[in-house]
Amino acid sequence: MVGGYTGKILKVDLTREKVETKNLDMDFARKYIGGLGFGYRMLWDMVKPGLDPFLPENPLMFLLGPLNGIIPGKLVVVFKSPTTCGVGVAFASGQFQAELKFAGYDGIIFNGRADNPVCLYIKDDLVELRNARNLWGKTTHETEEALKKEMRDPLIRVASIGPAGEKQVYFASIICDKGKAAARMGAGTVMGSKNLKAVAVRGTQGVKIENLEEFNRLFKAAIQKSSYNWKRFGSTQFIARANYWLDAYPHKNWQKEYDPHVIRTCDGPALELKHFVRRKSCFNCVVHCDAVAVVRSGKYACVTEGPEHEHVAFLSGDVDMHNSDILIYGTLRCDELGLDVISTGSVIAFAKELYQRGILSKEEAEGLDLSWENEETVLTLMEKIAYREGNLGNLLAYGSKIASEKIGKGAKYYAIQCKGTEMGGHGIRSRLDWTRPITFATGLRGGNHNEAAFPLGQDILMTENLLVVCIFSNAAVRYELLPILNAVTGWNIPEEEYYKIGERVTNVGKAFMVREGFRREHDIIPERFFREPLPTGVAKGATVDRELFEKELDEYYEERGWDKKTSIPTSNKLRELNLEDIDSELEKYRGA
Amino acid sequence: MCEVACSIKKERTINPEVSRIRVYPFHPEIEIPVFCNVCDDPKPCIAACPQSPPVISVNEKTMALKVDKEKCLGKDECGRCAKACPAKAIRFHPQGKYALICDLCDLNPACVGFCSALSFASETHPGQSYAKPPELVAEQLRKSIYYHLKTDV
Repeated sequence: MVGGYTGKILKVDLTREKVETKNLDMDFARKYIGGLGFGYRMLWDMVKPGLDPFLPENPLMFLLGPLNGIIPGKLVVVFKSPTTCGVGVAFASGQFQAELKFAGYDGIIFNGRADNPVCLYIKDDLVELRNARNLWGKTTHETEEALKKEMRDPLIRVASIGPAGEKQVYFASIICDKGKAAARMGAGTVMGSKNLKAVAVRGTQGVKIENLEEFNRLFKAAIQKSSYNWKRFGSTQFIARANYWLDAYPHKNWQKEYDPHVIRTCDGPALELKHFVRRKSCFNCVVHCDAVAVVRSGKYACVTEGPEHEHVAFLSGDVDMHNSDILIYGTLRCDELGLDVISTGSVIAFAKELYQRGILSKEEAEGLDLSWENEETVLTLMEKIAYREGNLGNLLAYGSKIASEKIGKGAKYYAIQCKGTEMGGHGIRSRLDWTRPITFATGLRGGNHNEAAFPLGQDILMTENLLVVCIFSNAAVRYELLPILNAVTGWNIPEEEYYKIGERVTNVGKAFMVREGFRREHDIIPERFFREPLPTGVAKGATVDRELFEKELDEYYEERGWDKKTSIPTSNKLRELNLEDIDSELEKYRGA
Repeated sequence: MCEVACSIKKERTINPEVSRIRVYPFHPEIEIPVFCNVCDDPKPCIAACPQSPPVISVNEKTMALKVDKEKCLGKDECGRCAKACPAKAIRFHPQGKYALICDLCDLNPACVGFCSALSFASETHPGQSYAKPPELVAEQLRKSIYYHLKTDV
């Protein structure tokens, strides 16, 4: 077996309660490398066009790349997304992914739907589906503790869904190791629709590396490069930067992109002073970007994994909330309930703005005071959404796109989402952050902020998703990834081919989107960014110019080799990337 | 990190299970690295070993323990040292049949080289005669870190 891979993929049929191991085809592995590459390709092969994401036929795939368990990595969860009805992708770091690799699997594919709640227990070759009726209804933290007690093993790693996933909230997440979320695009929703409560893994087998000396040398050199700021503040270091220098920090549902109060309350250094106890890391990482945060007294006393950039941006900035106790308690509750922080914060801010504009009346708010000043409603609404309580909670649980369609009355203008996924916390109007208008417009995953604004950049980021390495720890390892991959697998992939593989996978994903009906008119950003100039901050007055946006989009498609009118990949491009079978299937969409 | 460094040095693979140091997670948010604490004499693991002479021996120079991989019976046939260890620091190799005990890498530990939190005292530090189980350490840490919390988290 090639180093880095285990060569086995677990197939779990939940309807028939059958588990089988499938051998990994190494030619396939060489063509798509792993992680998202396997994910997009298998999604293309397995999903019929127009499939309802809530049906049992929608596959849920936990996939790994060749570098999981070797350098700091992530778990990638791939499925058809309930929010966008296109590709669904979510990443989770932590120890779970490494443990899955050590158990001897390159991935798990779930199919079908169990009649009763089940959980999957894996210990190396022993794989069993267990009854999880006693776990149903529990939060993710309780589930993990209960499973550890049940298995009498403190070292098992658990990925589970909370009440939000069980109740089919559209933006539910899968929580690994209590604090790491595969959050976006409704990963937990799909897992909940399969009646799968948790996956518990314990592995003892280890990973094989072809060239250990070379790997050791490269890795030791790479970890020396990790930066002080990352080690001390994690991603909260960017809050002040995004807010003051870049004018790209969400405030009041993106009415402003500058929040004057954040530096005293919820910025990295302020949180460190008041709440952070120590730093915490994922598997084999020197960066320790995660903090352990405590609220020492009062109503919100708790111990949890600290908030990161997106937590602060959406539970503090976007909803105009400046109480750091509530921020940290909210972070904990989001993890416990199994909610996606970005979408939850966005949806709450969306509801608050509707209330501000009078679109959502007092009766519709069910007695809640949704004004910006009332800070505690953030927590109340969060619970309501997760349990789908009342009409309001039920409505907001659909995510801002579907909710705005149900409300009507011009609510659509205030739903800040791309393709149905709420935007990540990096503004585009000031053009100072790395995100540009076309980043969100062309990203296959909708409002995904971890995307570049030009094709080659997207391909480079895509290669990192193929190895499924962590982008944060990657600040240290980024430039050594290809040599490390070659040392681990013993392949000798040259640089051009490596990026070509990234491009190939992007095109497979795009082809899937095309087949699901996504065209150029779906590559659009929220209307608000065209119409409203920034009211405050360093980039005051900036808006997105519509003509420039269309021109950038034209250039993007041209560089990608996609059709400008429809955004369908051209035949030449797909053949150049050895995707002949996909090309012939796309042919029937080209004429229409 | 420490587990990986240890398993690379000792077994030439990446596998935390064969590492001599193991990090146990406890609720809430406490992680305890568990490894051989080198108890005072008589050492419980050596006393428990049924072989004569015991397969676990003391290295005179480093004062650390050493396991004779060939003679050790392994978990299924014996496993007495692991039961005797007060720190629960002794585990067994999943494939090969021998106990995994930290030998301090001849005073140049691989784990310390990779970690910023671990530091290495070159002399066996006094005051601690017998090691403690990780649950107890976690409980003490919980009290010392989160003592001011009113709620029971």
